[in-house]
Amino acid sequence: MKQDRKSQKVLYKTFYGFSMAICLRYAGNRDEAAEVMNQGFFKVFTRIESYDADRPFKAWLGRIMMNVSIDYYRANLKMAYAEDLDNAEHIYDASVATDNNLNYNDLLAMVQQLPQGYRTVFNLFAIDGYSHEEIADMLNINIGTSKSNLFKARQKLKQMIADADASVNYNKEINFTPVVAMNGANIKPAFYNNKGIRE
Amino acid sequence: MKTQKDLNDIFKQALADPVEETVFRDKDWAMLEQMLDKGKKRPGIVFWLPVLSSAAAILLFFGWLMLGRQATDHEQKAQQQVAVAPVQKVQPQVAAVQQSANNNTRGAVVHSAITASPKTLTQQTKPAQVEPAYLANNTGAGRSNVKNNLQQKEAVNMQRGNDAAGNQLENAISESKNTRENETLAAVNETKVIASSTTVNTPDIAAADIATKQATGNSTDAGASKVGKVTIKKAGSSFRPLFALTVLASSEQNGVGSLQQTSTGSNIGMMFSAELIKKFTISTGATYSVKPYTLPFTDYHTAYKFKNTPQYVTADCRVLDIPLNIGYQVYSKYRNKISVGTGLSSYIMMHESYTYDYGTTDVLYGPSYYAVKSRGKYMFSIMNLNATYERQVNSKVGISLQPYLKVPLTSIGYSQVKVETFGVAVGLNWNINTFTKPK
Repeated sequence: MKQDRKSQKVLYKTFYGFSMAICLRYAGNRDEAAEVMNQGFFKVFTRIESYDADRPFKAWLGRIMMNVSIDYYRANLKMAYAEDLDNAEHIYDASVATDNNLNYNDLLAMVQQLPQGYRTVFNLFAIDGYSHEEIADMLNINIGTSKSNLFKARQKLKQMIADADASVNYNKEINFTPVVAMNGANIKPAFYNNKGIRE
Repeated sequence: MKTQKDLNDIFKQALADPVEETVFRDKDWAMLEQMLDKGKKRPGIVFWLPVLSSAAAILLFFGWLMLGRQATDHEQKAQQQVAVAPVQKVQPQVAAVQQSANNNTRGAVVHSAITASPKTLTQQTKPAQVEPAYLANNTGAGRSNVKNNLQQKEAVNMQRGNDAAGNQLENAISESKNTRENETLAAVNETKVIASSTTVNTPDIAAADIATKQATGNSTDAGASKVGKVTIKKAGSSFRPLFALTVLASSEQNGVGSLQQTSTGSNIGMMFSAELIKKFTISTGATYSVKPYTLPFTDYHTAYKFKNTPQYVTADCRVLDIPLNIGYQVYSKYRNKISVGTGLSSYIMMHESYTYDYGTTDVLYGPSYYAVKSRGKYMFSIMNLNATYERQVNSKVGISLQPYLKVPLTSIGYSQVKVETFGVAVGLNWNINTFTKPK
């Protein structure tokens, strides 16, 4: 099949932002996300014959990006080792109290700070809408492990949001005293004798 | 004033549909170009490796059957020998015999032996599975959260196979496309001209689709003519070489020409394995094996002329087994992996001695023990067949169980015999990659 590099670049640039947004959620940083995304585009360009033209291209591309992200997880973290929660249905309050409107970059940074196992499960469950059964199947882990990872991911994210709130409030409440530059000539040194009495 | 918000919603609204798109970097494209260039030159998968591994499993099975038959033949042969040879009275004598003069004519003297168990530690990198359709929910910049929610719901509908939702997403693509660079727009618009002659849902999505097809040299007609459901192929994984160390110990059965009359041996050793190609592992190492075996004197070869013929010879061999094996992972799920492997072993004889049994006689005349002084080396003289079950205990450590069969390709040792070995090795695997950070 003919590989037109110029057209490939156009396609790459067109869907760069869309693809990167997915990979960034699953990766730990921008470079890792770029590597994963390129793996995805490599598949797009080399396996285009599997694309069904009757279906939206973006959905297909998104699926590929998610799959390569999961593959990356599987390749680099073969055992997302966590205790299983098979026997205990975890009841967890998924709500969080905040007065802070966190933006995309803030929230992305929080997700990226999660350990890879937690991050992958959180993404699949909370953002991409998969069930624990589906996640367990995708990641080759137990359902209990999936639940455990989600639980811990939420705990950590809650804590991060609370920390972010505290930081904002601290900045609002504290009045900082500006540091004024001092002129050395105006400083009068004080001298003390050997009995500790100022002279 | 703090308000209660759902954690999932906070992240879903912001991350599933990011308003701020990441800026394009030329270096990322350069990386992909390199990958594509390499991909062109990439040689195909070495076709014989899976074939060889499959053959190993089959041979392992048929080896058993074959050796079982040979055992029956040997039993019959031994019985005939005993029946023909009359029991002779000989004088008691327990001495090391001067066979070295005869040895010189035979060259290096070593023994046939048995071996170690190579361990192939492979890492699970299963190809991705086909999951339900991904939520495509990208929209233009500056949209409200309410609208985002609506679109996400629509996207979910699309995931369930609702075609109507697909139109919304296609519109979203066209809107998002409008915000992109002029250069990109121009290029995409060019493709629209071609798209107008094809049957697609909307002009915008057609542009995107055709851009894809043009990028890969696929004709638009061919793409448009595709009707019906086409399943998306599995996406592969980004592969990274994996390395592991294995400490193993095994108990094994050694027999000459069969595994029916066997002696129990043991070995201990260390193996290093590397998964350089996905699912394929190459392993090597060294194991020290103790291989006792007994054979009828008719199978024993020596230039020394015995005055009185012994009935049986018991050998005590200790060898250093250096295998070079390849393994193929046939199953991998959760923490369990199964692989089959084959390869060749080289033996370095560390000790070789023979004890001669003259049968139930009261008085013995003849040598009873002989120790071979020289150390023989037999390069790639043993074929290894094995199957390995491995269970990962945690990310660093795993345990493995490996049944194996060793079939000599040449006669080995002073007595020039072929000793088959069947054993089961228990291994403790240490995944070296655990401490290496992924790129």
